[in-house]
Amino acid sequence: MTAARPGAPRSGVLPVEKGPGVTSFQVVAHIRRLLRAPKVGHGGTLDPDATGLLPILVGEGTKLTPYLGALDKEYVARVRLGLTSDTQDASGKILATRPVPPFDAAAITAALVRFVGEIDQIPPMYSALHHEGRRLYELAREGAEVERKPRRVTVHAITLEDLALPELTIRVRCGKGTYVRTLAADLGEALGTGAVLAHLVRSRVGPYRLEEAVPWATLQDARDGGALWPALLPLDSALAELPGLTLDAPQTRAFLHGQAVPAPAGLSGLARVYGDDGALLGVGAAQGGQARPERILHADPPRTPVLPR
Amino acid sequence: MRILRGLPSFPAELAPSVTALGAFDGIHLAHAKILQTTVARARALGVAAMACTYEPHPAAVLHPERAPVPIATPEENLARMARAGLDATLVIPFTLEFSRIEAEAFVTEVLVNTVRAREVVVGYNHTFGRDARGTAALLQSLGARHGFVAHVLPPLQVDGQTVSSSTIREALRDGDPARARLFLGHPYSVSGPVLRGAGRGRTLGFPTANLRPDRPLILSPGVYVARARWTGKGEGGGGTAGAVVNIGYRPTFAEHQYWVEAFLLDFSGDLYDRALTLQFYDRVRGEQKFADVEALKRQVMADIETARAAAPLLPAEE
Repeated sequence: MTAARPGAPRSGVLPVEKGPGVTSFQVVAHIRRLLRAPKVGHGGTLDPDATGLLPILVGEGTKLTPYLGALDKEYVARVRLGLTSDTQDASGKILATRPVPPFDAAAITAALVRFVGEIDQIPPMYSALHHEGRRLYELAREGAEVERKPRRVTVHAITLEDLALPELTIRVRCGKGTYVRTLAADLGEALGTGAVLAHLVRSRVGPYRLEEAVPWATLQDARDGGALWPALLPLDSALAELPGLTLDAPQTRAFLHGQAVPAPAGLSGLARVYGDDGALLGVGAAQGGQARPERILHADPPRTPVLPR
Repeated sequence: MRILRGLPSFPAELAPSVTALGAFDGIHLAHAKILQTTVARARALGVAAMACTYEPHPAAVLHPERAPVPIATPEENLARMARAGLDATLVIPFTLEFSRIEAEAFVTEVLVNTVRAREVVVGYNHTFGRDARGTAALLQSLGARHGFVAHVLPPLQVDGQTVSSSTIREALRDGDPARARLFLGHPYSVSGPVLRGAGRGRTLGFPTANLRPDRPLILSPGVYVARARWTGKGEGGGGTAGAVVNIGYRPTFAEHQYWVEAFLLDFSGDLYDRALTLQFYDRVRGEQKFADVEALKRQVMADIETARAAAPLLPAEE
């Protein structure tokens, strides 16, 4: 049993490329028009200047926002040494310039590894975090600076991709909540030169890769959803890292009604839950031999043709 | 940084602590990461940042016949640990007797009763105690029992390889000090007094400083770009210069002797009996045998030019 109604909008995840100079929300609005789908969201904001992968959540996919936010992300960042700015990126107001010594790859690498692992970041003033009910960037624009608590984030790996002083390019694989701008600025401090983020490309969000995303040019030229619907990936692609749990018919009904269902004793934490017909029912939280519904998804039934309506 | 040798010498007022555990030879980037984490956690908790290490290297005691050649001397390692910001290092004399202590007893004696670790930081592959039964996993479960947190740092990847003492030795054996430096975070170096050699360099027109190295060399024979540093009192004092360093058995003169000789760029003076440190940055060429003295002279001139071009690009201070 699944709850998808005939004619309901298709649900899924659409990985697209965001070009420069547009907000993530503008991309969402554009796709909403193209797909004529009422519910469209995105899985993690990219700054207007940044480009690269933006996973678009369609229909029931919008309920997956927190799970996409929690996925590891990979960025390719170009960092300009010798400058500091109020926003930590190159488009901000330049606050100071410092000379850049002739660092080589070994010197840069030795500084980079300091930022691998669980690190504490002081979030930038120009960020969407809240302080006493207001966005930090609103306060920053008024010229205010407030004390921010360090946030612990995880940087899985940083590799030096290119070194052409005063710029260098790094590939960063990191967990939720990592500010690459701040990483660039902190790297600059570690090297004694200061630094700003010159350009940022997001190359991966969990299982979604930029190479497989709908190209920005295609998205700009599209007049309807025809080019987009075939690229829509199933909802459970966003949950691929979670273990799967398949229910029988009575359990399926119980789960959809919000009741806990039996789960293997060894299973703990979040799980993808499937119904007796193989349709994704949602996300369950397993513990002590039971799985409690955490998020119910009225996903498309299996083998649903994904075509424009 | 205070250096404490042996458990009984540990002053009670240094405890409690956050303690890094390891053999720490070379203080490469992964070691630096462990020490950095230790210092950061200690500062966060307001306790002493400690390291607990061994002398000599456990492998040299347990299986001397196949123990790896050390990358750095104990003094150099301790100096780098001090620079990482540790408050103290406990150096445990490593004996066969010590190696027979069970992992659980090591944790109780050293970590719980002596340094009173609130948190312990180790690399993913660190082992301790009898038969190396003390693994990271055991440390974590013992931590839960004794009330300390064990941080186990994952392998650190640089340029597609895991940073470890063995990858560094491998690079050095390949005659690639630049790659070794990439993993170490600082150049591989040797130190030693400048000896009075046969004076042959001088007769060839290239006076060299002949060094008696303070450690067995890992770097393969060849010619390298290095920075020379020396200390000294009185006339001239200490100094630094770019250098071309020949490491080899000196096959040309059929003296089968391992030798390190450095030609210092733009330097004239007497360094005899001074302590000289050579930091290796790059390779100029491999070991070569020459047909005659003229061919050798021509090659040495070319080597010096190569080094002269590279020397101004050497990083300032490491």
